[in-house]
Amino acid sequence: MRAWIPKSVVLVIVLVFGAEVITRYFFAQSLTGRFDYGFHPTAGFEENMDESISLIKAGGRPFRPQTYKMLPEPGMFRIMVFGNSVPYGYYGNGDAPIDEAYPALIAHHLRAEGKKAEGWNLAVGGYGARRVNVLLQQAVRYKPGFVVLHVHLWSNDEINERRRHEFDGWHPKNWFMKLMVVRRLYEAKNERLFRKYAPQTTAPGDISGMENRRLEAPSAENLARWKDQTMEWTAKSIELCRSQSIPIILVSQASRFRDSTGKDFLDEQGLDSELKMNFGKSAEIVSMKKIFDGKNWESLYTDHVHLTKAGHDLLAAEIMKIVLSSSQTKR
Amino acid sequence: MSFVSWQYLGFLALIVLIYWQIPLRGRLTLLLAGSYFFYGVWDARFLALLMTSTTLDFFCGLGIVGKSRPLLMVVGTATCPFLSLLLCRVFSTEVQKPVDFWILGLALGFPLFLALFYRFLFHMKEVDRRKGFLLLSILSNLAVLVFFKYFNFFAASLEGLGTQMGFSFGWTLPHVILPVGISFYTFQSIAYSVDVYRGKAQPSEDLLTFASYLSFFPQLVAGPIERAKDLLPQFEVPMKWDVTHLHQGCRLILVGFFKKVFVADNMAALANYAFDNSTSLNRGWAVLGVLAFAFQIYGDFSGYTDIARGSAQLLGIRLKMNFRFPYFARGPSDFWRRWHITLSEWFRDYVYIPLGGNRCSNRRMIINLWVTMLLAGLWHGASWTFVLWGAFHGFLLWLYRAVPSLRILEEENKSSAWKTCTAIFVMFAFTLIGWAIFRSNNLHQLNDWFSALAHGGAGPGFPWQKGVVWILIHILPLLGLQAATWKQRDEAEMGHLHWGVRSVLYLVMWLGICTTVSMNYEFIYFQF
Repeated sequence: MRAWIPKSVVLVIVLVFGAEVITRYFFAQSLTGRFDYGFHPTAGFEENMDESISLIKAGGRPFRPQTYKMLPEPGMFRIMVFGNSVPYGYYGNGDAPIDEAYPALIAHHLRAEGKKAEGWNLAVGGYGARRVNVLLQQAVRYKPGFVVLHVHLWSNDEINERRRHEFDGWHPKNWFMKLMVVRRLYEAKNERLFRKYAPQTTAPGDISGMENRRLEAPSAENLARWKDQTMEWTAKSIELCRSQSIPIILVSQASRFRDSTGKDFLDEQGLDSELKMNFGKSAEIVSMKKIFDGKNWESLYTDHVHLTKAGHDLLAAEIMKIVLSSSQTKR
Repeated sequence: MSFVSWQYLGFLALIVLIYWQIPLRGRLTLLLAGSYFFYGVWDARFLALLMTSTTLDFFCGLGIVGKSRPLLMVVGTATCPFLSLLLCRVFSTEVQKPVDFWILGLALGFPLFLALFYRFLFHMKEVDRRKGFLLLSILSNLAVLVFFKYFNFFAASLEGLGTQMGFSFGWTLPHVILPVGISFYTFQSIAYSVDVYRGKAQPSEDLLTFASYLSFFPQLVAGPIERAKDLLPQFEVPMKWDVTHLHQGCRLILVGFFKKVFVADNMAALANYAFDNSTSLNRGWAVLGVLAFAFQIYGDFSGYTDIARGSAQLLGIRLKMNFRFPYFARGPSDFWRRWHITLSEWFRDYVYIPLGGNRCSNRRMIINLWVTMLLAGLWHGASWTFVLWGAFHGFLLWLYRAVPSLRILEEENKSSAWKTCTAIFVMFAFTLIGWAIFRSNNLHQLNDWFSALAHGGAGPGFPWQKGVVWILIHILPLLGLQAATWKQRDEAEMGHLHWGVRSVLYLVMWLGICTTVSMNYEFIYFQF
């Protein structure tokens, strides 16, 4: 009589089990976990033996690769910028060089003014205020001199939070992903191959199911909810910074929109007034709309959201002025 | 219910577990209930169509061989579609739309219609009765198919033509929903009646057996299109449990998932990008897009077939193979012996040969080929691109007969390796052109594709060279699997391989499935 489980399947099980043991033993630390979606306690900061820190990724999404000293040198302005693909330096059809994104340009402008400065780019594509807060909780350990929060409404925080809860659930679709070896391979494929070699425009990626699509749609109901969530989590981030006496700058994102006549216009979806009303006394507010208005702003965008180098430069120059004029900088 | 869902796997496991514990009649009842549930999950209203087809063909099959049934039984059975629709009306929800009264009226008229014809045909001479029942079956199935599948298309085409000629019809056309799998089960029904008429199959004398056969869930919505002589006997005798059913079934399902999830869904990312209306193509993307689509549609449909075969195998039932390394075809005739085999055979046996096939003048044969291929194209969908695709394949079949060098290429005997490679390459290039026609959303997009191929273009932002890497990552494991199974002439047969090699293949396929970024693409052939 033939065995119910053939030898070939037994070998597969043994191989997977062996690979799982090896992965858990050797690679567990670097598994920040796509399925923790940035809520993982280490959130992608890898501390090295030489007292430096490497920024790898947060919740399965990559940081711009950067390495800094763990603690800033005396007199160094350490400016940390958090946000989405705009400060990350995405050009709409690929990544810009990291030096062309505004976090690096702030430091560049400060150095031009004779200051020692470094601009940490802690932005991650798709990140909203909720996950920025998780990153910030980790990042404050490295003594930032300034924190810049790039505030915007759309993010996939909600979907990923939902997926995280789903992943912890009983459903068999998550069983295989509880194997670290599978999760590791999945991450490798997603980050190293999928995002590099497949066009992202048509691939739903993280989005699965109607409910997720509904959550992502820019309906009036969603916009109102996103605004509330953004304010709530930004308030928490500001509170965290204030508790550690870290000055904070909020950048309100403005994007290109098109009206019914086909004419483009610049809009910040009410963020300027919301931020001013809620945080006007506790943080400096930089409005992209105010900076770009009156200029040839169409040329500052690569698409409807992302900026060209000139756009990044304008924004960085404005933030640099605030940094310089703040009392801490002068001291 | 999609095959690539946890719901389906749970459903299948439950059916298999119960199936092997109960006797034959119970199994048939279980299969019928399971199949109707499987189909009804999509839209329960269209179960009435399936029941109508079942009732008609069951009584027509018996009628052809002169076996009559009491009129009360005919009427009673023919009332089932009405009752099904009535239930849908009573239990309609937001998701499950209500049934209109005029449809209920139509369904109520069906028992009367069938009873009248039944009585009438049994009063005719044997020859006329046989023909009458055959025609009733064929015409009813075709009427259902044509109405549900082509009404929108022909009405819109007529309206477009009228507008161009300056007429305004001023009508508001109802939008007819295309029931899933209608093309498959109507073709299977027609094949049944014709085979019974030709004496190639015995009609089923048991309604439960016949209904289970026609609605068998693994092959209900996208084939393979089975013949009564192959499948029906498997429902008539109780299968004995053997652990090889489990092994072979699971292996087929694994291969099917691999083709669908790992190959097709990953290829879809490129194909959809290239054939997205807003994408400006250059030469690289024109080729890459259609290449990706070629493997998408192959992985999608052959993957579906493997899952269907695997699901049936778990129940001890063997379904026909539908694909046999189609991109290694040496010519168009060879291609159609490898691609969607059961549909090709259907068109060969029920259209091409009755038209005269090869046994006629050369000119007539060419016409037969074109008619068959045009219909095969139209079968795939109500769109001019499908018609054109069919015509293109008809042209290829003619071309390979008319041009001696191509004819020689297709002949397999005593061919050298380079000749084989050339033949495969040439046919693959033709196949790609065909897929470009097939995939284009309309003739305008097709024109754009050809002009990008001929003259180049601006191209989209994403470099096509990166897409090549993406294609290779997903095609090479597929080709590895095909190389391993090549000698068996069955893409999922691995019994001849050493168990260690099988382990590696299983592992690669399983990891491929697990590491695919979730896309949730529906099976392409569900829409046909």
